[in-house]
Amino acid sequence: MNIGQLSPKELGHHLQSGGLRWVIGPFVIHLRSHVPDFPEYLHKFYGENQLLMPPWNDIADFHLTLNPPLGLRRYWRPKVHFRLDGNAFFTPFPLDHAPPLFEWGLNMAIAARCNHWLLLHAAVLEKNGVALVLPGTPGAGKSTLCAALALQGFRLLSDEFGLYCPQQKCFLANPRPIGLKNESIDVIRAFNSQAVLGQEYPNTRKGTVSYLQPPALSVHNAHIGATPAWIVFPTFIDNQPTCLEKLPQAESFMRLAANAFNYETMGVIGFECVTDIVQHSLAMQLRFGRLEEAVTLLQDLTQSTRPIPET
Amino acid sequence: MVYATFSTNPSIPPDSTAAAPVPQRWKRGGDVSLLFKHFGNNSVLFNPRSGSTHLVNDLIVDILDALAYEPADRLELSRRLQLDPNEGETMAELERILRNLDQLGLIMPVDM
Repeated sequence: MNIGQLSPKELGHHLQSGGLRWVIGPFVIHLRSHVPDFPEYLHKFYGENQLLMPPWNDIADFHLTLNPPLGLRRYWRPKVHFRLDGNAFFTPFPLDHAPPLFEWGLNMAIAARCNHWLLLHAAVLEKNGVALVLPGTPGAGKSTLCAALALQGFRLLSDEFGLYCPQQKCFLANPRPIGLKNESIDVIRAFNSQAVLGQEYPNTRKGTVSYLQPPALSVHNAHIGATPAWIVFPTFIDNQPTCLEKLPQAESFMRLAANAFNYETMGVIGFECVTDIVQHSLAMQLRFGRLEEAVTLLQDLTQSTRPIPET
Repeated sequence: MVYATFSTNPSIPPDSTAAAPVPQRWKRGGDVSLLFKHFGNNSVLFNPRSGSTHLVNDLIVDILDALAYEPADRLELSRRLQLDPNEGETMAELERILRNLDQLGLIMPVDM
């Protein structure tokens, strides 16, 4: 059963009683929440995810709560708290900003718990069975490119975390709503009129945020990983010509290692993971000022089933 | 940390060690087994003891190799690296690189 097969009212009932458990790629999420509009968000953006109905045999990876405070603060400037295993890591958000708080809270939970995988700050998409990795710093255009490519038929593995498994030597899929910020929201609306975007959340610490629904096929195939084939470091520069240049492998290694959240924590395994990724990938630097041009270049780049990495 | 450690682009400014006494001999740090991954003219080096990663060129790799088993002073090291010890600039550059590698915990002085 998928989340979307329950109505928001039914989802709300589960969230307020024993909680709701669902699957996102390798993770089982357990969430309890009393936030009034949150079931609608789950229904719209996690509707294709597998729902686990009680009695639960699987261990949940994350026990999360998303709740308004008790007492008068429930009514005066209402807020919402995110907790992982009962511990709050964020200052409360306005109650109507529960979805961004949930998404950022889940990011934090993954970053805090998943040191058995290399966690790249990268979007990862699959084409022809292999992975295109888009590592990015804030403002580089990673999420915008990721959204556009997902809307063009690339399979979304992740927008935020490139989860690289040292044992399987592949990226694991954990497709979730793609967070778009500020100008990117209208850019994606203009790029594809069929894009399913949610409401806008203004005045967050990242500006105005809106979420793009992940493609259903990506969610259905989230059990399938992808081996690395292309690493593309994007940089958005407004009104500049678009160009794609090859990067030396040693430089790619250093940039990728610096991009990982837990490279140092993993020690020699982190070094081996980055080595694996770089040795099996063609690394490029993409500078773009127009999204359409960047998408065309990346479509051309990934036409072949597999690039031949430089030696 | 992830460092770029080219001989021409030191991670640490030369001034930071200007007043330190000159060690006679250097060696690779004790039981540290450095991991190298070679990519064309450059290599990536991982130091398991510190958890740090360095982007190094061939000269740095050769220096670290030359100090792997036996300590050496500058003259001995220049002989191992087939450098001309009478080239003042070369020896000054070698000295600067050795200090830099010491600061990064990749080699250590023996006779201090």
